[in-house]
Amino acid sequence: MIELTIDGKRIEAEKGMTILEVAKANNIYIPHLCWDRRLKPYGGCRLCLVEVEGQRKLMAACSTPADNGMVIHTDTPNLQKARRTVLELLLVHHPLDCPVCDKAGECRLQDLAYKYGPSESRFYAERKHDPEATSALIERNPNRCILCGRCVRVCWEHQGVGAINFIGRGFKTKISPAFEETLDCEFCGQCVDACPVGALGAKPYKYRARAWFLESHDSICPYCSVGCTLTLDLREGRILRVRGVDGKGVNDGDLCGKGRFGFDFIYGDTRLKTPLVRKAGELVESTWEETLYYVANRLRDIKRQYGADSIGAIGSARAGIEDNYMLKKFMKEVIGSDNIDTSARLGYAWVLRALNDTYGINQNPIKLDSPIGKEVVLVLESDLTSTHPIFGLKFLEAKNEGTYLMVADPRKTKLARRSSKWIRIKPASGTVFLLGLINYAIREGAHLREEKEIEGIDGLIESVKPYTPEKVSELIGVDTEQFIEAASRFVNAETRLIALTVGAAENQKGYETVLAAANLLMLLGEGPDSLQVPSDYSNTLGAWLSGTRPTEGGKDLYEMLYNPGSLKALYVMGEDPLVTMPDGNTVKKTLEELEFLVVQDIRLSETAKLADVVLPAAAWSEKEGTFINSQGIPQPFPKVVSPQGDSVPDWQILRNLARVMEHDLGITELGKLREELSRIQTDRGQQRWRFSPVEVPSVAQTTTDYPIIMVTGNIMQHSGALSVMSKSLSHVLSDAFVQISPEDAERFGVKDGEFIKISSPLGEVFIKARVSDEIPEGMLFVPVHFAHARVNYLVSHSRLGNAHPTPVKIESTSTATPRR
Amino acid sequence: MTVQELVKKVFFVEILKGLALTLSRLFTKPVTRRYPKEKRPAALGFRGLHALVRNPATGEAKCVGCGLCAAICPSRCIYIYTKEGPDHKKVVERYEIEVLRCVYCAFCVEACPFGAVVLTPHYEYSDYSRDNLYMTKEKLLQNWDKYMGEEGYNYFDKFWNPKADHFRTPKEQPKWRKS
Amino acid sequence: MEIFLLKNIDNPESHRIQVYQQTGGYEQLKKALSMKPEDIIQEVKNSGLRGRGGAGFPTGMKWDFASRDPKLPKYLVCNADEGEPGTFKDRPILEKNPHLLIEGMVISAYALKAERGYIYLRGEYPHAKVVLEEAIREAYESGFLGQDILGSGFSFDLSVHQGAGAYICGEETALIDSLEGRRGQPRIKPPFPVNVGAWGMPTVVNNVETLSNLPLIIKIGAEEYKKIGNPECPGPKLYCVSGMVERPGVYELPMGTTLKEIIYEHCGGIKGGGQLKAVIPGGISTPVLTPDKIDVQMDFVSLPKVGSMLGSGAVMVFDESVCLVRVCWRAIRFFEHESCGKCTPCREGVGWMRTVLERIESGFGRKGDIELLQDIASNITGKTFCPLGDGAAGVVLNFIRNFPEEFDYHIQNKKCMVEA
Repeated sequence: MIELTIDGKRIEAEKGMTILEVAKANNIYIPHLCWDRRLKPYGGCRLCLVEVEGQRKLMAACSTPADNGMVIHTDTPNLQKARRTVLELLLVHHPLDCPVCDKAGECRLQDLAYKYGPSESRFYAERKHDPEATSALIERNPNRCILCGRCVRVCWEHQGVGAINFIGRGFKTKISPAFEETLDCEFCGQCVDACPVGALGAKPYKYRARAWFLESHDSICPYCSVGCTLTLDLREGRILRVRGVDGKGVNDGDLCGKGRFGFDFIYGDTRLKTPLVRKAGELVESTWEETLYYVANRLRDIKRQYGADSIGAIGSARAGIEDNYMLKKFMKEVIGSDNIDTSARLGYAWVLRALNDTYGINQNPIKLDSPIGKEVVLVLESDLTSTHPIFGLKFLEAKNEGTYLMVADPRKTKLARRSSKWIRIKPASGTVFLLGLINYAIREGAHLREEKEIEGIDGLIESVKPYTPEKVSELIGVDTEQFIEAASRFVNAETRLIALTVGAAENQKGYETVLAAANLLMLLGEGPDSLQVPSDYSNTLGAWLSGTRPTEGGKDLYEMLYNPGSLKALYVMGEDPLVTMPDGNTVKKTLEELEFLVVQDIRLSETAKLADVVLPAAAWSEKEGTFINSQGIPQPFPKVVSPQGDSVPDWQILRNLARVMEHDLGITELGKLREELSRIQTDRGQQRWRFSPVEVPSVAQTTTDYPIIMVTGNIMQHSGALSVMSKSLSHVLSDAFVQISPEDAERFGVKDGEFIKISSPLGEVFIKARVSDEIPEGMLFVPVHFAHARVNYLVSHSRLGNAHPTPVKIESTSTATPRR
Repeated sequence: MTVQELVKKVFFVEILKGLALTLSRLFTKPVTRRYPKEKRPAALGFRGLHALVRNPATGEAKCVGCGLCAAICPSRCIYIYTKEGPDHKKVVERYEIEVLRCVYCAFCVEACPFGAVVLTPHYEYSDYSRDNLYMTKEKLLQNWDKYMGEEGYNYFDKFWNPKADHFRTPKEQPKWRKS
Repeated sequence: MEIFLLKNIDNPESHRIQVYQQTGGYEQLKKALSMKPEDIIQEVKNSGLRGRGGAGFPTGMKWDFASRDPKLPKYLVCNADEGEPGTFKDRPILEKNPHLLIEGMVISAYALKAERGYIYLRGEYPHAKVVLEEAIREAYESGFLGQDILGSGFSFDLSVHQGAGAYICGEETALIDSLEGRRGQPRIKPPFPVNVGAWGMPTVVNNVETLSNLPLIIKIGAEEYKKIGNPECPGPKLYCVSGMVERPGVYELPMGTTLKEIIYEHCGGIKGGGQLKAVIPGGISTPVLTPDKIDVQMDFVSLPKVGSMLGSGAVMVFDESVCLVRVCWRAIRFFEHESCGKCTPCREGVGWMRTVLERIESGFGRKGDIELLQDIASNITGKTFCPLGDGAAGVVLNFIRNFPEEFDYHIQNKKCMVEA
């Protein structure tokens, strides 16, 4: 602790803090433009100058460390003059186009000029750069730029991208992508929030409203399970933009592109506005009354004819816990069936099962800042910065603070690029890699270090015997030396962490992977906190916890969807199994064999097109609700806009349907529902460690017919099948593609940008090829978000949750079907 | 009652005095105006019906949609909707004033950095329909043509001490090149 | 005094290792390698050698800081980014006597236990690059560089990194940024490069001339070295004289030779017998001196007493025929062009000063322009990130303070005093 005086106030501070940080912590205002909490001090704007007694020069508060006994003045005539000059100098080149600038009203330069600045400048000059108007989501106007460098630094230091930098020098300096090309980055928009003036703006918001017309509401992001707090800015009942506000929410002001630009899915063209009922093979518009009675009658008939067990329901990982709970309640009390599940079954459920089999716990919420301060962090075949961008940022932050970031991934993901060590393993060989680590740890005698005896150690030792470093390095395709170096680093670290994702969209990891990771960590004496596996979507965990799964022996998702004929009626709420779930052929067959399919969704999804009845539901922000993020925090979000058309919140549809079926669920309003929810007890389970030997997973084998391995997954700008509704996100990426390595492209005669035919034993699809060095030889990467790509039709499903990468065959269309 | 008062009362002196004044007024010019037939011209700066100033160079409205008028309006009766136009310029899609809610404070005119909105001298605009008193951009521009027109451009110089000049680009610095 | 730094300068083959070795080259290296590194640092401290780049920081102290930092590896960087207008003192060493620099660097590296060295060469010295690379190759072949130098077990690798032509990269932190492959912009100090430098490791950045002094110190010892020139900052110094003198050029003289002696004895006086008007004693960013002050000793301690600095020792002489407003404008134009754009006062303020000076010089000056210039300059001073802005503001302030009548004449008569 040090003690110093600022403006006559005695203040205690931590050693190592800068003067500005100390002042901020004590509510003393020092003007600044280039400083940002998340970034290293830059000292460029020179507005934060303060007087330190005993120093001849004025000191920049942002970059001067506070010292014991310092006497600091923040507001003297001398400083005011200095600030006035700096502002005058900044305004020399800043165009006074505030009347048309979208930043006016919330512009830091405007505020400071109003507070300190001269009303007129003694000098005038003009910058003549061209504003960039062609970029998809981010608008750059270099003329307004004051070169504080926050965008450049947030992009490089914090976001790990480095898409923009300074070009030129002196006052010809401008901020631009390399070679002054059009901005082409991941469009997280962090630079837009960082910009203190109007030089960077969100294109969808451009010229739409003035800052003082907006009303702001805080909400929770509907995409991934990090559960970021979004600040929605509305004008007259329409969301115009989303901001991240410093200090708000788990994300603390950081947002990714999905959260920032993807909100406009609620204004998508495919939104449902009225109930649709299939009449003579066509879906026709209908009224709520007619539709609900029809649904009620059909459900009653089927229940009478085939029994309650023939009716199933699928909940949504994106609807609130209220909606999911209501569905469960409806199924249980009105239908009398326990056949209910969500997409969590395909991914997160395996994680929980693996944790139960090892640590003996039922839940393992992640902690966002868990990587920070760890000695070694291993990210296993997971593109965390794409699937959970804000969680991913913490890994970059940890790396910057000295953590050894080890990434085992065939793909050259952002984390791989920024890692301390990137081990390019073969696709889907993560489990083998972990088994190799276990084998190495046992050789090193790690299991002897712990005093506590863990059950099943002999079985584990036996099961990993074949995975010698030599064998493993051969299986994962790296040098033995490299593997041993990585293994030794990981095993001998003081603190360590393994992070990975297991999702429905991904086909290279599964139950075995988590099991192996948990075994490894237990062997090294680490608790479940060292295993960070986030849930998929905004409410995957919430749906699970609110009981949207078979709890009394009902049919689970596998039995319902991959077993044609087992059900007669299915009620699908907010899920699109035809696009998001593997083995589309079987799913389609199951759905077609149903007698009655009800789809309740916000849009006419692929599944809805097969339905007998489609019910329009209110989307996120059009209803109240609660998401439970992967940290296990329930976060309510408000209703801020009115529902589109006749759409109704999901839980109200179910309440109304129950009423039509003459059942009183006892729920009249949301408060009642929430009260009932609050009574649910979730059992975290007692930790009871035991090793659970991992069955030898099948490392994907290619054959001569199917010589290349296809891996599916998520990409940065999209999430599940929902985000494709967003026009903004579709501006960045609207078409399916398959990434292929340059070597394979040459081998199979594939040119960049052409359509290729991919076929597996289950089917074939045509997708545009993108030749990319992010992918190693022998692998294809395909994002799953696009319905028209039908990628999931190629992927097989597995009852055991094993990794199932798909060997496929590719053909260039120019050779397969020559066009003339 | 004194004798003097009695005499005054008996001979209606007061009344006669009054009538004499009346009689004298018969021969002077009347000061009242017969309003519907005779109209009084408004003084400079009168706050009558609203108008949007036409830019003489382009023939379009001068307004750039900065929204300061709407921000300052105490009765919140101005609505502005802007969008991105062709060649990425800001265009004012709709500019609407709810005349019936206006309190004629003319803050909007003062706040406007471009001298783009004005209260005209026109004051006769009562109507049977509220809709007619909801001014759209087109109507407001027509108001300018009808009630201000050419001389309207002087109005700002004479009355409002134009703030617009403060935003005019200063003369370029002299450049010096030596061979 | 015996010429040391510019020995063999007249020999057209002076850059060859044979010529260098014939005149006793690389002998000092052998001597140094037999000493203990700590002793060399102590010797340098004792010698009182001060950095020749401009700031005059004691080299021994800098080395001491770096050698105390436990982090490894350490880097040694030679700052050969000689960009200051008027300065060309390092060029003869780089082009004519490269082996002296290499020998100095190997000795320094041995003292600092650095195993990797870079010569950050100015982008505008393409010939020096060719010479240096050839010299490094020769040194490798003769075993003065590379693994296990002269059987001492000490290894040192050296390479040339050519800059891209930015003045700011002469600032040590910007130089390190540029060396790392980034945009050359100064970094925040502290931490200083001796603790956190290139790639976060301790890095010593020394000027060419400083490093070239090392063999001399080893050769004659600190005590003898101290006897050369001014005892407070001893050693031979290269003075590069340009402008209106009969014999401009680089002169190796003992530190503390007076300015008068340099101009009138060594350089043969003012060109054409003209009248001296002003002298800039240490490169463009040092304050200008009027003729009455030229009796000053040219060293790090004497010049500040008359309000200037030694800087790099680049003497620029102006006689009666020179318009000082134009000199000032030209200097500021240089600073504007070289401002990196990081901090506001320098980026915007210097450009502003340039424009005002431009209009004064071109005859469009307005009343109050001088006060305006002084106001801007005094507001830049002490508020910029690195000394570049201070330097620019100092030029303007000093020219106006010392020659106000020239500026006044320009504004009042709309023409130049000299041309009239």
